[in-house]
Amino acid sequence: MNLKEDGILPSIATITQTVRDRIPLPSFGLEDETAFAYWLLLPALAMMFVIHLIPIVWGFLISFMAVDASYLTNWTQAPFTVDHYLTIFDWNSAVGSRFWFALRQTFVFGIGTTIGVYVLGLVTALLLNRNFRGKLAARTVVLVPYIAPAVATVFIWRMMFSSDTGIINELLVSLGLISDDIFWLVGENSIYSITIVNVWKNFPFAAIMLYAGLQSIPEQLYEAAAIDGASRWATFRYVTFPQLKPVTAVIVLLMIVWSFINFTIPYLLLGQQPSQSGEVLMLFIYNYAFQNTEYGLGAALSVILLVVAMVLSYLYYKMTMRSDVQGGAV
Amino acid sequence: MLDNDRQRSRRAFLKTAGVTTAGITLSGCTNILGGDSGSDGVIIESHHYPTGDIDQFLETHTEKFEEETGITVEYETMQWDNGKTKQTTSMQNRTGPDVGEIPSTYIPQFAALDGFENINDIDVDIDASSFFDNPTEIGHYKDEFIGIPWFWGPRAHLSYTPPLKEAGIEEPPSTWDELVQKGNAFNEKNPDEHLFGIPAQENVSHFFADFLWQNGETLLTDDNTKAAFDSDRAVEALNFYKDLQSNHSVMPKSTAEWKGDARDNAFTNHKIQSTWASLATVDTFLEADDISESDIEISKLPAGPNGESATFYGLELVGIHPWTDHPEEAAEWLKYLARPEVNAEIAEMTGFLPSVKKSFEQERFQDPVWQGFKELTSTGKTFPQVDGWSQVEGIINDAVSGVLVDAATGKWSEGDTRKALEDAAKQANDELE
Repeated sequence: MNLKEDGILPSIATITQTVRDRIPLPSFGLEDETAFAYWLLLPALAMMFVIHLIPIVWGFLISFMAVDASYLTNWTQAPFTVDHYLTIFDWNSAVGSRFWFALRQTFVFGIGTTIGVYVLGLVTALLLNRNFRGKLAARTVVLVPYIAPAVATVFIWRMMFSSDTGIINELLVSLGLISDDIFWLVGENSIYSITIVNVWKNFPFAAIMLYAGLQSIPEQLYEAAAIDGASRWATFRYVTFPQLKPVTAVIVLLMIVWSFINFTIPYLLLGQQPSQSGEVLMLFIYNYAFQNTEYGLGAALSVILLVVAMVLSYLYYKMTMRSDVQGGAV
Repeated sequence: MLDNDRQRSRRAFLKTAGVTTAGITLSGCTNILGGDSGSDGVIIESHHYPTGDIDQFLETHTEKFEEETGITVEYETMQWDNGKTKQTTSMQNRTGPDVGEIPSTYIPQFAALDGFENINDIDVDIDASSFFDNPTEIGHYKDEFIGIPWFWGPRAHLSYTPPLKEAGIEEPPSTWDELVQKGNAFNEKNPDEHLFGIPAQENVSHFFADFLWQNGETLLTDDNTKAAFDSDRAVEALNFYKDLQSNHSVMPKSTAEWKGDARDNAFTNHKIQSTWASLATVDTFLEADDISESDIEISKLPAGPNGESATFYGLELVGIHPWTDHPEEAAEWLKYLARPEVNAEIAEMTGFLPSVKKSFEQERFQDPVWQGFKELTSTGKTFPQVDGWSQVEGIINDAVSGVLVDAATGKWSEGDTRKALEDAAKQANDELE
């Protein structure tokens, strides 16, 4: 077949047909089209199997094995045990008490991040959606926190949060909002400081996604709202916001999952020995299990984290997708 | 013609073979007659952790050692992050370097894996009594001499004397009461500065151990099976530590969020005039500012009401792995490292103290700073050598740091210290079981 018939590039369908004609693939009793679709999916599925499934299964297996320093090189010889899970679910044990507290703090971190990122992202997207001079430059500047290297930016935040020399306390004192220095990096406030930095780091992602969503809302809906005499707030509430629902769902889902598995920001901002308030699950797993070469225990903690994140994601997805309201673009 | 050529080449071959055989035989005789030892040409591998200018030290001394003995030492510096895992893996596979560095807190785990040979079983005369007593005790784990002490770092009470003298403080504090009195006296004259400061967010367990020992208590019971850091004396020690920042204003409250670098920064910027630190901090202080060494005073840490001056030290040892094919050569390398002049150099390059007593006789160690640190060698103590200690240390860090932060943020109330230590002791006992 001449691929450049009449000087026009062939369509995907033509290429597909050519491949099917030249390479006969078994259809295993399925319809030709269906079988071919599975064959096309095979490479991706194989990669997913190697990259995702094997480590998950491996981690799950290790979580039931007493793999510690003494079984580092012959982990298959480690005895099977349910002790890791029993210890984690025992509130009175060192691991158990710290795990459940860390899980609670992870929820605070995840929910705080999601709300902060969404609100700040939405405000930014609405501002970017207006016509003004320098819009392109503004759109680029907004992306800076998201694309700047985390190590450099988080260390700058660390300096800003310092209780006696940081600019944040300086500012709050000069505005008369506080009289005594606040400790941001230790104690109860450490969970808020990692949340603030995480919001700052991720809000550009939400802003750009929501901006794309705003751009795809049909103009006719706004015209109809204007004819009906809707106020600006009513237009936002009954037109803009519902139309952004699918993109909102994606942002919320990603923020919850990303926050649950975020290690970089808590580690860089609070260091290896954070106050209990700032010890989110990822940091706890790293500190307690992997630093002490307790790989079996670390795997068990990670499995629970995975289950919690999956359940949350599933519930949220079910909740948002059940609604009849479907919006513009994702 | 061709035959002639063949005959010539055969003759040449025989000649070459003859000369080679004679050479090999003669060199063998030379050995028997007392020439070079059989170690000549032996290569041993040695793994270390990246402390100070250790690479420079190893580069210089592996060369010198090879010149003297003919033994080549190939070295590698591991990272602190993954060094322990690397060493553990090596011990399980029974392959890897011939010689390895041993941070003292890893000893129980390494010993459980039979990671280091008993040096007494190797035919080499390393005199264990040439080392300071405290580190030598650590190097003998369960009656086996598993590693020679290499360098160690007791913490001293460092004072920058000019501002103290201006405030009428002539001597460093020798007791807890004096620390408070002098701290208040200094603070009265310098309201924006503090007498003293130690970090609460890095190695806080080391400082807690200092206060605990100074008050006559131990971290674990004598048999190392139970936590002892929740006793009345331990509570008193932690409360005193806490009060230095929250009640007495001897330390700034911001120490609650300090790590080591913040402490060094505060010391070099004269926000605090004294601290507890190793020689490395003295070096940083002297490098950062145009300060004369004579303005620094090194003294023992103060004693508590129920005890005496005590200070935490970290220790690095060097040992021989049992799977080595060259135990004698590896032991020769250790013996070389234990020479006073060589040991002095590693101490100087890493900012710690030499482990060999005679190293202090070197000319360079005669100044007051080094001699001051030498005085601390008798008061040095380190963590118990027990499996699971790293978990226990983490638990202590959390508890102590929590109390200090609560005190700094005004959230501490009576009974909190005891509760924090009792909870921590309970968790530590679970880990030690």
